Amino acid sequence: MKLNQDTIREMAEDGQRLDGRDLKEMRDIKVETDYINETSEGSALVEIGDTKVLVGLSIEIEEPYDDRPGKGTIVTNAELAPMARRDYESGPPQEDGVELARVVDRGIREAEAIDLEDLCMVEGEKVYTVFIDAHVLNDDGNLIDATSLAAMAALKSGYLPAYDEETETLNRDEKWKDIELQCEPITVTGHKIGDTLLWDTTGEEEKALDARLTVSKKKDGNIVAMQKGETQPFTADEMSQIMTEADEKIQKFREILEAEVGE
Amino acid sequence: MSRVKEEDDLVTPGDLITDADALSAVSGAYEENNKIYSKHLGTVHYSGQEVEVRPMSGRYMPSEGDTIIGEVTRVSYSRWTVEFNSAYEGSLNIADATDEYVDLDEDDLSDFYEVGDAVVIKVKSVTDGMDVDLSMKDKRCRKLEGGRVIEIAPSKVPRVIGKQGTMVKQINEKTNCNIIVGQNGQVWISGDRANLAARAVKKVEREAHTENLTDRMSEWLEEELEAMEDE
Amino acid sequence: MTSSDEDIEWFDDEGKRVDGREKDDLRETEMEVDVLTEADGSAMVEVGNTRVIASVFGPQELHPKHLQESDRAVIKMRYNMAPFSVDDRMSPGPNRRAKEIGLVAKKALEPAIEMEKFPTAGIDISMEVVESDGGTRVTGITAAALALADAGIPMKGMVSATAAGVVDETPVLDVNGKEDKEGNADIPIALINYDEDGEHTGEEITLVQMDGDLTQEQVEDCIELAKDGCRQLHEMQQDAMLEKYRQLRGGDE
Repeated sequence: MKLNQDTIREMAEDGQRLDGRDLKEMRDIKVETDYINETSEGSALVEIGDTKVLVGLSIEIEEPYDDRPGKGTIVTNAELAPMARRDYESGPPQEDGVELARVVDRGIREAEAIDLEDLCMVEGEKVYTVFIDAHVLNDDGNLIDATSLAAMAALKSGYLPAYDEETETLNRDEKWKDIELQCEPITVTGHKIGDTLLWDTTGEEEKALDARLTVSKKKDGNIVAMQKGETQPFTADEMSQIMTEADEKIQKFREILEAEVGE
Repeated sequence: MSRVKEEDDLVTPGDLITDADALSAVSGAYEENNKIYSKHLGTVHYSGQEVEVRPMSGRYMPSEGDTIIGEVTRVSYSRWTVEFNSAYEGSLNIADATDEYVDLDEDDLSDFYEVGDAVVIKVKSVTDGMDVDLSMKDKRCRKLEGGRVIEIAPSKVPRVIGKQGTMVKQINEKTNCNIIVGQNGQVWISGDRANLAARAVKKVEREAHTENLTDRMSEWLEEELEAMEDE
Repeated sequence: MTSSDEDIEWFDDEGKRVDGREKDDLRETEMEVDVLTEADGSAMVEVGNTRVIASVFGPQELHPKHLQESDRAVIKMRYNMAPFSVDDRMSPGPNRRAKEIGLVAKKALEPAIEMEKFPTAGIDISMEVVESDGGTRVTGITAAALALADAGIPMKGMVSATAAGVVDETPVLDVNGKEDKEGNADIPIALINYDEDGEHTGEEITLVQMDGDLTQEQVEDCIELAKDGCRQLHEMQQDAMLEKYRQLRGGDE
């Protein structure tokens, strides 16, 4: 309701939020890996507050691209399932799901989280494609952070199945090796309502959102990807503030991942 | 006469409640082969010769006489359209909105209510085809400013209000808030401790079917207030 | 790619199936209601390794308007398999098979729903298969019925569904992926369940499909097996629905 949006804006000016959280406070975060253990080679269910995102990896064996005969591929896809929110039934703009997938993908790709040469089975002939499929089950805001965390958790706990040279197919019951991550980028998003910067917005808060900035950082603190969203502008100072405040959030995400998956 | 389910029992769709005999099934229950069954996941209530099942959940169905909270979504030539969290929307005609004289060609209806306004409004009439007419002509009706609106299941509204308003009054007093509960499950809350009041309302909704709720809510509110003092 | 029915040892020396079950055993089943906060009603059902989440939105305004029925609600049903729900990745989005399943699932549930209570409105039901090992449509229907009850949609009874099949000439209940793909038949069945003072009743079958090559007697045996399976599932549905409220009351229901 517009009344709620107006109140959210007013309260934000005073550093207050509807649910009583601080501006920088995140909701409860839960990560469960191996959620899909029979048909997927790596998976994670992430909950941030009531937002629920499921990521499942599917590994396929394919021919490499001509210009990269020794490299495998990563493909990221995101489905905003109609069950996730009432207004999804009439279909969210397709761009939303595409943007989500691409933002999540960019963090992983630019950080070179996976060495694509690691995915090569037979040069020029057979390489692995890692499909990262995100399924948004319940949207109560902050999808980018939840989806990125789920993707990272799935990759960290995922494996590549063995390749049977005789039948030229994958033996999904046998593991060739764990997916090795050279680097673990973490992606978090800072939001802006009026002139106030805040973190982990709920679905209700996002209806009053003016702008958001997503930042992906590696362990060494370098930024590998960014994305600005929504319709209003940021000042350079605001962006710097988000990049700085991101560190605390990223640290929290790393700790949660470590607790669930290990180093 | 044999009752399978007693007053306040939890039932699920297709559960046998009682032999029909002299009883008749009203809302939430139905009769077949001289037996009364439940249509819902809900609680059984006997009242005189009637058997009903009150569902645990379900979106609002507009009913004449209800006072509800809604939002103006359209301003037309001679009326406003109001949505209120239902499959059906309502119409507010000028005659039901104001006693002032309105010249349709000169005056702008937006001067009274514009798109986005939240209102407490009354359901004047509902046809079989679910055409809903609304009215602002009741002392409780008004435009809402500030505060927040939260949602509860319409079937839990009576419990949140309480017998003669005791439950909502208790929450009001302890949180120093102003609360208006719409029959459609939209609840407006305004005040400094609005967040606590909102949590209290949701707690009543969740535990509506339990006993001693009024006392337990009193205790819970005290505890929460103390915890807030300590911060 | 499929070996013929005769090459597989469908029953071991003790008459147990490939996953250790008796011929009339359901797989291990778990059900939970109210798993999503945005939807009006939701449920998750796991039968063996098949896991489906169902959601309901409604009654709500139906668009486009020309699809509205003046005297009753209209159901929109979606069945979709997540890409990672099967071994070899599935392309995202409902395909033709999914559309057909959506249609038969809708027809399985509609007869139980009081459609006339909501003239012009829409009820949107969605089934997402997150893990598949046979019986996804019937598991989806069982979950959707729970989601409808969770959403407060009035129904005369609870619909539950299961699939019977035949392997090695023997009718079996609740075929898993292997039995479905390489066995002799797959017969999904849904029916409307009632509980009369602890006694289950239910003769209204709302879904029947069949893939296979069977004698009439085998088909009839399968139907009987499936009916019993539906009854068992119904008891679990009742438990799942009451669970949430029982806990809050102090568990003395």
